[in-house]
Amino acid sequence: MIPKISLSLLIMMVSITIYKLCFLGADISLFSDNNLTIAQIVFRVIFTIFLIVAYFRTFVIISGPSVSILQMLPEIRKKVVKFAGLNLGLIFIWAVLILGHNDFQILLSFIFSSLWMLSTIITISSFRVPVYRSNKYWFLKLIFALFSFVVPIMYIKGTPKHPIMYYTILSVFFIVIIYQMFNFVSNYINNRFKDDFKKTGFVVKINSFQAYFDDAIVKELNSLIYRIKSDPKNKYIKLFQFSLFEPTPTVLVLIFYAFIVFALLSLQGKLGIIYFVSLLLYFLLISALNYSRIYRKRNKIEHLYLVSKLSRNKFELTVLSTVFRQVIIGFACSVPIFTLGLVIYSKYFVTAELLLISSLILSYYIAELLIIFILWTFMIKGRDFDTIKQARVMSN
Amino acid sequence: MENSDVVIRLEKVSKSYGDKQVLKNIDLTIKKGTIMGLVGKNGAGKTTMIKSLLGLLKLDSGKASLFGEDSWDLPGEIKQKLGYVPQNVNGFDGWMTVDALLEYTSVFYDKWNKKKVDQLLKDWNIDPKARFRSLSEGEKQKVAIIMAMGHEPELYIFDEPVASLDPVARRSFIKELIDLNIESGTTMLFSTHITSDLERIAADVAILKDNELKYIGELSALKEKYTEHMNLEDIFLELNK
Amino acid sequence: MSDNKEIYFQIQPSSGVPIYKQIVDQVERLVASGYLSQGDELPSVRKVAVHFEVNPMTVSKAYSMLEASNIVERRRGMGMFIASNSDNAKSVKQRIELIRPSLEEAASQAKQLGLPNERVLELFKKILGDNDGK
Repeated sequence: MIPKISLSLLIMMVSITIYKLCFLGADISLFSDNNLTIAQIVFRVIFTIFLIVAYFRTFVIISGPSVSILQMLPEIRKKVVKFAGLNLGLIFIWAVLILGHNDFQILLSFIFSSLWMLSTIITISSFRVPVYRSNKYWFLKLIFALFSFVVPIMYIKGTPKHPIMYYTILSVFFIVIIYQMFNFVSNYINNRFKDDFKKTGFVVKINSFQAYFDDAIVKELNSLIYRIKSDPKNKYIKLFQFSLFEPTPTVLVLIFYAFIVFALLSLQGKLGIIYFVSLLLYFLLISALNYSRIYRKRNKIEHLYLVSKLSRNKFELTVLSTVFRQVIIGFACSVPIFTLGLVIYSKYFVTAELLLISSLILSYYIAELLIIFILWTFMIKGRDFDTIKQARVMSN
Repeated sequence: MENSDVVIRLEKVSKSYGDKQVLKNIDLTIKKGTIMGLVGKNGAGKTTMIKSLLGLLKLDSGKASLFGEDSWDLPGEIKQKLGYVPQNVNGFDGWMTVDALLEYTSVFYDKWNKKKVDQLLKDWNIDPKARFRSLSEGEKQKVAIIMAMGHEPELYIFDEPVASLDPVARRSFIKELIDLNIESGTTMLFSTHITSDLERIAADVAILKDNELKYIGELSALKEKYTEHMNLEDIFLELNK
Repeated sequence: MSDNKEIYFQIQPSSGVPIYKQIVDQVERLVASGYLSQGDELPSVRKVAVHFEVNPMTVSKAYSMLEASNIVERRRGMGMFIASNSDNAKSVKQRIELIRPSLEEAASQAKQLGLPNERVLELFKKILGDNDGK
């Protein structure tokens, strides 16, 4: 009995192939805009869905929830990786054939989108692994996030406005993605869940970058402690914030800002901002996932509860306030970006559409605050910090 | 009228996880100045019991109290008198350096003995500038212990605090605790499976088996119950046959 | 002043014999042999606990028991001293009874090992001889 997902993937694959060979012809790419038919649009959507699901499924196989003894052996894990790689490789080749090898730009866009997609999936499927949640990989995560804004740029036809910048960004992005994948695969094969600092060469350089950022955060912590000692008002919220949310050094936030502004200025046309907004919402979604994870940091919350001089009730409220504060600060920092975007694109949109976009983004944040509150009532208020059950469940 | 000498009190405490009962009608009273060892097989419920009396777990039935206050809703002042070293020390922020982590912890407390903390770091050979996540398990445990000692609590609760320490470090730790107990009359509850450590430091022992406390009392009396000379490890194995 | 005195008993925490009893037995033996005589001061509870790294309450218990059987007496503000009991030094006959348990233990082990008595006695003599030098 073939599992449902595999069956539907198979059906999708077959139908796309038939459509391409019989109806579209060998020369025309699925994503070319000449003589666009409804059928072609439909099959584009199916194609995209197929790729996303196929990539994701490969990683589900690799990350596998069950941890049997056999899976712990590097040799076996190597085989699993090879099998997954083969799978992905075949899908890739098939996709290139479907896309057609005539249009270079479409191929380039596809390759980069696939790499970006794979990276996203690696990131999501790895978040259970402590080493990827550690600050060591902050540098990678940041670069990845920055360059994700490049992806919609690639879909715009014609030559880029600033080619040197454009191709530099693409190359760096490519290197980072490849590094991330190698890193993931090697960590996976060696079943390495803890940090191993005995590495050499290029990795050490990355580590020393990482160390630079870590030091920056430690400096910020020290200045926070100094400020708290002189003015203990609201100290718990600030202290909790530092502990529950991995802090980002200010310098990185500024770099992030600069890149977003660059991306905004490079995008052209209405299509550009549609991609931009959808990417934005994608990032907001990731951040929503982040916030919900906060309440799952049982060990940390338990520790904070015991060391703080707060009654249980006050403690629970302080946790809620901390998360709220984080969202609101995030929103406040994004307001200039949103405003800039609206100003830039006001020439493409009428006021009604701009208002729609603004209200969309605003309602997203309100929804996020609501979700955080609801999650708090279910996961924190009046609950105990059941880390034992987690441990038991994980060991079963 | 709550006896002000009683530091820990558990009355008919029961706790289950789903259909698996872990604690059944546990009664325990620990007075000030006592050092009590908690012994039991892995999974017998030692951590559950400890977390229950700290108010980290909700009880199914019964009462748990610390310093006369209900454990579930401990007032802030009572929490300041507690020093807890959990079994799992990986909940702490890995990116912090050791001294940053200790500084961070110190801000939570009204009093903090920095001199003592620095001395312990030195005695136990821990580099204050090292990042917490790059420390070995044993070093992490040592830091966790120091974190619990800085505010000079009146009650220490240790959940397998020395599992990753080498014998030299363990002796040093035991010695430190004994000094503390002599100087300040600190009360301690110690869960460990290293019976030789307990035999030194604990005058009282509680044995958890089959979800119940099969024995609570003086260690010496327990040894005297057995006619052949059996040390705590032997007794424990005997009881678990 | 008493802090300069050495601690003349041993403690094995992981023995089947409770710590307090080890101390009590040893002090009894030392008094019986005359090594400790009336007026000698026992090391403080604190000193013993720190030296052997054991719980001070167990040491306290030992001292209390010694006090209860009148072997030692507590002098206010000064510590524990061997009591002024007349017949503390026991006769050889009485003292030898005190090592009976150890000898019985050794004998049973020798039997299990199937050792001839003469060899065992030879060894014991040798050990005693070595001990004389100590």
